[in-house]
Formats: sequence, C-alpha cells, structure tokens
Amino acid sequence: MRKILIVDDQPDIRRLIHLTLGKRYEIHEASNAADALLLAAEQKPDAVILDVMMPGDLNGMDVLQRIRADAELKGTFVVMVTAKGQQADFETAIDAGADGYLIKPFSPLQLMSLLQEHFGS
Amino acid sequence: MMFPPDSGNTGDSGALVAELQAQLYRYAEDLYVLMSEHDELQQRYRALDRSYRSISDYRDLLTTLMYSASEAYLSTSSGQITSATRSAAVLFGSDELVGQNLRGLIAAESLAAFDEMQGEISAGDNVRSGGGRLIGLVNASGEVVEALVWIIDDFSVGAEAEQLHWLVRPMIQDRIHIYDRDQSRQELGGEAVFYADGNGRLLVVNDSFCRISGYQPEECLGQPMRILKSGVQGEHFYRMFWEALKGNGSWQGEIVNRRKSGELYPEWLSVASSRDSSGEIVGYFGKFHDLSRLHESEGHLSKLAYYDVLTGLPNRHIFQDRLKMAMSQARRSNTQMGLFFIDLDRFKQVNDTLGHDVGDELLKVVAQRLASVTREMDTVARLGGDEFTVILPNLSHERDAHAIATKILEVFQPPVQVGAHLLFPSPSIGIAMFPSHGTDEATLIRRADMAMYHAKGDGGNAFRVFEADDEGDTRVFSLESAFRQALDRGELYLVYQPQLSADGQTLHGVEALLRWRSPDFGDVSPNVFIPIAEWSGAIVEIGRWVIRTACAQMAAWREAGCHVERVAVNISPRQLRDANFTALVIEELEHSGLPAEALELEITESELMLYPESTLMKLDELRKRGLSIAIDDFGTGYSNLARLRTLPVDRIKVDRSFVQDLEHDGDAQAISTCIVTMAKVMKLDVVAEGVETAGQLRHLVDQGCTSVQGFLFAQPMLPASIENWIGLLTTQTGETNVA
Repeated sequence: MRKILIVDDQPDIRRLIHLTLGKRYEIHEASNAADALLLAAEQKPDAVILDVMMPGDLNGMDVLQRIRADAELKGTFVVMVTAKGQQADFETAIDAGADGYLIKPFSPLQLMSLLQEHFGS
Repeated sequence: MMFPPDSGNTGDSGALVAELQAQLYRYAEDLYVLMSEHDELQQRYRALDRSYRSISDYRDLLTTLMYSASEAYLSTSSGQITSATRSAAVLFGSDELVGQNLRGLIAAESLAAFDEMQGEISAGDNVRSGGGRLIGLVNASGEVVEALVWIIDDFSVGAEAEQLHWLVRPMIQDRIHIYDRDQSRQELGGEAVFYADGNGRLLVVNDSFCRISGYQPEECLGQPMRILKSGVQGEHFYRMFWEALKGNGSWQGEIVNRRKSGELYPEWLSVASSRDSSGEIVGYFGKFHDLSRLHESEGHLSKLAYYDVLTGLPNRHIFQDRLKMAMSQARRSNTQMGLFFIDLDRFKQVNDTLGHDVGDELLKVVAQRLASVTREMDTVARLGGDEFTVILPNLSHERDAHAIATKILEVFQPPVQVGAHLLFPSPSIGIAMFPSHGTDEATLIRRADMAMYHAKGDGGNAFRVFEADDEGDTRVFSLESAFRQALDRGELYLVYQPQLSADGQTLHGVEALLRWRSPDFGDVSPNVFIPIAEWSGAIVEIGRWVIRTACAQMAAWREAGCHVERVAVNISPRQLRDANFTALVIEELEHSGLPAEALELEITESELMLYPESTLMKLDELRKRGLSIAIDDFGTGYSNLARLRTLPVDRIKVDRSFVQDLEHDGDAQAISTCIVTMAKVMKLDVVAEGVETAGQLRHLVDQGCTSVQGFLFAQPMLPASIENWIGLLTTQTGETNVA
C-alpha cells in the first residue's frame, strides 16, 4: 500500500482527507511543518498532501522546499492545498516544485484522480 | 461563544467553521456527481437488460420457428406417438397427436417407404447416413404434405427398437400463422412476431401481428413486409435499415407503420437477419409492439413523425435525443463528440427563383450526400429548412471531425441536376466539440451554430470550428469597449447606502457604490462591469474617480448642512498595488477639504489576506493619518485569525450571505455570532451587510451587532435622496442622533 502523508493544521480537514484516501492508501498525518518533516523522513511517503497555511515558524511552502532539497525525499509527489484565490501561492508552489495544487474547498474526486494519475491507478 | 483574546489559530473560530463548511459542501457536490453517474450507469444497465431480454425473445422466437416452420420431432413406442413437438402439431394440423398411430398419418403411397425405414432400423442400419426418405404425410384436413423423414437413434442408445424418434422436415415451406393461445398475453398487448424469407416475404406471423396490423393471416402471409410501410420514413431511412440488416445483421428502433385501415401507428421494431452457412441471408426474424397507446398516454401523439418526411432523416426531436445520448456516451467513455451545424449557402435563392419543388429535390440530394460520407454511428438530422446537423460520437481528436467536415465539402462538389436545372450547392459547416466547447446541449448547439455563421460569413463552402472569440465574448468585447468610454461619457455614477445603528435611529455613515448606466446596455450590474474594469486595468482610474467623487459629495453635503460622518469606498487590489496609492488618496482628501476621519476604505477579506507586508504598510500609513479601514465580505474568505489581529483594520463587515441565512440556518447564525464576538474581542466595529428583514435584525442585535446596512432601513440612493432621507431621520429622532 502506498503511503500518503497529510499535513494540515486543522484536524477536521485531515479527517476528511483521511476519509477520502484511507481505503486505498496508508495514511499518516501531521498537524504542523515540523512534525511533517519528521514523519516524512521516517515514513518516506509516496505522496504528501500539504496545506500551505500553517501556524508555526514554517509553512507548507517551507516543507515543500525542504522535501525537494532532501536527497531521499526529493522525488516525493507533493500536492499543495491552499485557500481560494491565492494565485500568488499557486505560482510560488509550482516554482518550488509542487506536483499538484488544490484550492480549498477542493474536490475530493480531483484529489483522488491526481493521485491515481500519478500512481497509475 | 467566547473567544479568548489569545486563542490564535485554533479550530474554534468562525472562519475555520466556514472553511470546513465550504469543504463539506464540496464533498456534497462530488457526491452528487457520483450519484448522477450512478443513475447513468443504472440507466445503461436497464438498456442492457432490455437488449438481453430482446435477445432472449429472439431465442424463443427461433425455437418457435424451428419447431413450427421447419422441423418436427416425434417419438413413438410400438408405432404409437408418445410425444410430439408443437411444430409437429402445426405440421399435422392437429393437437391430438399423442396416442395416434404414426402409420395412420402416412399417405397410402408412402406406406411402403415408411415400413422400409422401420425395417432398416430393426436391421441395425444407420438410417441417418442414408439421408431421409421422402414420405407423404396426411394432415388433419386430409391434405398430403411431403416431408423428409428420418429416424434418429442418437437419443435412444440402448433403448428398445420399439421406441423410435422421428425427425420430420416438411418439403413445402408453408406459410404459418402462429396462434397465440395465451389470452392474457394478447390482452397485455402482446408482441407481434414474424418471419420473412430472404426476399422479405412474410412466412410466419402471430396473432398479435394480425391484431396490430389489422391484416388476417391469409391477407399478409406471402406478402412483402412493406405492406406495413407508412411512407413516413423516407428512402434514406430504408436504405439505412437494409444496410443495417445486411451489415450488423440487426436493426431496432421506433418507426411509424400503417395498419390495413390506413391508420398510422408507432411501433418499436426489432429485426434480425438469419443466414445460412455460406453467409447468405435466408430470412428475417422480427418482432414489434404497438406504441400508440403508450404515446397517447404520454401525450406524445403529436410527435408521431420522428423523421423528416422530405428527406427521411431524423428530425429535431430525434436529434435532441441522440445528442443527449452521444454526450453521455462521450462522458462515460472519455471520448470527444463533434456536433456539426450545416447550412446551405444561397439556398433561399434556389427556393425563391426556381420554386420549392426544386428546393425540396435539392434537399433530398443533400441529405443523401451527407449520409453517404458520415459513419454508421453518426446521426444526420434535418432541423428544418436547409439546416442540417451531424452528431459524431466517439471521436478521439478534433481533427477526426475536420476529416469528416472535409469529406462533406468534397461530396458537395459535383453539381446537382434537378429537372432542367443544374445546381451547385455548397455548405457552411460549424463545428463544436464536446467537451472542449461545451458540456451541455444548449451551449454546444449554440456554439456549433455560431461557428456555422462564421463559416458563412467567411464566404461559405467551408467549415469552421468554434472559437472562444465567436461568442458572447463579442458582447463582452462590446461591453468592454463601451465601458472604456463610460467614465469619459459620464455614464458612471455613485449611489450611497446608509449604515445605521441597529435600532435604526442613528446614521453611522454611508457606503458609496458604483453604478453604470450604459445608453446601449442599460443598467449593467457591477458584477459584470467590475471584472471588466479589473482586468482591463481601468479600475485604477475609476477607483480614483470614485474616491474623488465620494469625497466631493461628502463635502457638498456638509456644506449644505447635512452632516454625514463617514463615507466608505471599495478599493480593488489593483488600486492598492499601485505605488502611488497612498499619495493619491491623501491628495483627493486634501482636494475635497474633508478630514481624513470622513473616509473609509473597504477591502475584501480574501484580498486583504493576500497582500504582502508592503501593501499593508500603505493601509497602516493611511490609518495613522485618520482614515479607517474596513474588511468587506467578512466570513467568506479563509482568514488567518492570528494575522487578522495584526492587520490595520477598524471595522469588519459581515458578508450578506450569512445575514441572509440567519433566520433558518444554524451554521450562518454560528458564524455571524463568531464574527461579532471575535470583533468585540479585537475591539473592532462590526457592520452587518444586506439586512433585509426584522428577523435578521433581531438575530444580529441578539449577537451584539451594533451597526447594520440593508434594505430593511435604506436602499442605495442618489445624493439628493440621501439628503431627503437624512432630513426625515433627523426630524423623527432629533438631530443629536446623527453621530
């Protein structure tokens, strides 16, 4: 089973994503950037669903940059999630090497198909 | 609900609730999509189930025919018939074969041969290898029917010789009427079944066939199937029909036939061809049921003609149906679908100068030509006049549609001879693709039509694929050009909506709202022109005009002794990004002579959250000078509450969507309570927008909201009306209340 790491500070959103993906993938969750990086190093997830806005020193964009800079993790499929209309974030995320981008409220079907396309269903 | 001042970004806040709620709605939407797909699959399943049943029916029919029309089986024990198939009963014309002596049914002149056969079987010879014997059988009417008769021993290995099984194949292929003994079936409007030979002549019909068609068996047996032809379907239809039977081997669909009485009726017809081992068609099995009662009950009687009488092509009704089907099929199979709108160039001239008869003949030829170059799965329909359409399902690329359009142009090349006239028809073809140009029927049709007009506009005899510029975008374009001049022509103006205390007694200020009255387009909604202003960049200049006009108006009111505390103007992100924004605002303020406290800038929540620090510093600077800043549409965006506390903001405006739902939506209540409570904690003012009912107001007052704006108290008004309105307010409440 492929591993997915969900990073979002809101437990409810994590739960929704977990519900969406839990049947097909092994799910790991982190509520902040620091935990996310620890879990990523430990679990080597196949994909990371990463919220851009998070409390703390590091946000999702920082996590993305660190994943891309890490020799072991740099190939990880990363989907960024952020609030509506933040075009600037979108561009930054693509520049920083995000593989996919979802805008909240996101479509769960779109999320599933992003992953399925990447993994070849 | 209380907010500890340092709660920061926890899940327990209005914005987060709103975000989660929005996310849940998104899930619900996807669920709806899945449910629709489920529905579609169910329908598909039902269609498959129906065809499965038709296949079963065919199988039953085949069995029936095998027994009735060709071969009969009998078993005898010591010469007595012990069992007989139904076909044997038909063959001998008797239902009481069992118990009779088979020998008694043999014609006198064949008795010797019959006895010889039985002798051979007792001698152990393999009768089958020698082929059947030609034996004369006597049927119930005393007529002699010649048949090839075999004794088959395969079934009776080891059985006694007294038990024999007989295969009887009548030499004369008689025409047969199958009596449907099951009354209930007939009453239920049983299905007509028939079998016709390779030339289409009816050989077998059942009761229901006779009942529906009105022909007695003796009137229709031996007659060609076309006795039922109504003339409603044109030549083109029959060509397709026979091609389908020769190609696919089957056809099914709804057609209109004619009863003996001359009455037309719709029927659902299924026909399949039967072939011999060399592949030659030797006959046709068919069945149909009468749809007229169904149609009557559905009130569809008027739609009896599903096909265009002139050309035999499907008409608009069927076209729409097929389009729907093709779109859902494309959606399921992830393929593209092409829609052509085809119009003949200068057809009106043909009609006007050579007459309608010539025009009609031309249309028939055009229909044939269109049908000749399209694929079997495509639908060519005539919508009326010289308007044709082609539905092309199952395309993998837009260029497949180009190829077919090219073929259509080519096939139109040869001139058409109608009587003494030589005509040179040429088509204009408009193409719209599903899903790239539209995912609903109306859009696709409109766009194919639009592309067709462009093809015609380019001189005709051409095809053109829809382009985004073709459409409505022309309206946007002209709206845009009209809007570009709106400011110079003085078509823009401001209206002002009062913001009051929740008791409606005290005027807190007004919000300036931009309006556009275009001489060409009438009153255009801000929802339409603001986006145009945004992306055309005109918003910067217009925004400045708004600030200047609002300030000037405020000054004028004050001059006239009508004191308005504050005017709020909406600021677009583009204005705010402008490096000169701060200077410009201050300049306009100074120009009007108003104190800075009289001007408020409204910025929407979602935009405010996007701004980099440098922009926020501009707001902060203005605020330090005395202006106030309000967050507009609060509750709709995704706010980082921790950040909200650091923003240079004086006031938040609860979005009208929450206010609207206050009376019947617990979530909206919770959210607006959150917002009001949070604002108090952060020492911000709250204005509720869009307050329209006393019920909404009561909720807001309960929540502690102190300032409201909406139709309940006052609609947006022109400056003069504002003056009158303020005059009334002060007479009612005393001047001291106008803060």
